[in-house]
Amino acid sequence: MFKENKKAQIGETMTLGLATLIIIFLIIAFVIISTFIAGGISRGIKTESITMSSKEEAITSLLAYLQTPVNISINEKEQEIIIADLIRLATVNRSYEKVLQEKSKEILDPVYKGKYALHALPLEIVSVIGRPSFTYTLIPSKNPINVIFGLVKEEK
Amino acid sequence: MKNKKAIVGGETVISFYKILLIGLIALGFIIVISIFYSAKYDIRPAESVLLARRVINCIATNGIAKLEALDSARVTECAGLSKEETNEFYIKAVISYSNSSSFTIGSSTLEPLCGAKGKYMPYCLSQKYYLLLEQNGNLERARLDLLIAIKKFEENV
Repeated sequence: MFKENKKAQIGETMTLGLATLIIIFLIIAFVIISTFIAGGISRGIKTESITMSSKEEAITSLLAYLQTPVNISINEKEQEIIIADLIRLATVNRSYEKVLQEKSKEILDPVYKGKYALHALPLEIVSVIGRPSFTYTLIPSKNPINVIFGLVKEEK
Repeated sequence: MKNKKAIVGGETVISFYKILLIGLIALGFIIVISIFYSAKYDIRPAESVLLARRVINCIATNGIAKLEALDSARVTECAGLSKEETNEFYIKAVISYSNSSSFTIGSSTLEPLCGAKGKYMPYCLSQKYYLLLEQNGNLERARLDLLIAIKKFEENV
């Protein structure tokens, strides 16, 4: 009877010991995880990402870009049209794609010095190496054209 | 009788142990919550973006700017900036077209501090916009360089 009681006590103590170890392990894991999520004690003050900032720049610049008047030759006749219309024209007649690329560079390069990406699906107007944060707008057409514009900005 | 005492003694030890465990778990909760909620956030970057958005909406609607809108008094009123706050921020807008025009709002002493590293330094946001400038019914290509510096290192950090 005495021996049986002793064995039972060993089992109970081991269960409690194991439970304690598991609880301690979980608490340590939660502390590490919460420290990581909160940004670390030693890392100081956290700041927001600048993605929002470059999107703001991109959408305003994109709207201005689409409304920019340019002179192009259509059927050997010099005509002034806005970029949005030139994109529509280039999606219908791909021979205007090169004109669109040239005009787009002429407009945007003085401001962004090539650090941007611009697509008017299915046209690829300007592409860059880097990670631009994209913004987009639609040009109304028979098949609406999705114009995507992104700026490459370095994190400070 | 002896056995009964041993059982009572053992149960008391286990009860204390269980209370200790509950205390340990509660302490763990407190530590985790305090670590998570004591993390400091610098909201000035978000504030500067919102301020830039307001300024841009005042200067150029849908990407088209008007020359008469490039006026510090107009922008201050349009963006709803209070005069008591002008020591806490600095806005500098330079628009370059065939000519050039600029205006500033706020404390200009913040501008030289942009780029300086340190705890009590302003947060600076520099943006470049491609815009169209409307003048006498004509549209001209323009570039806007916008600098926003926010001091507020005590209130917003």
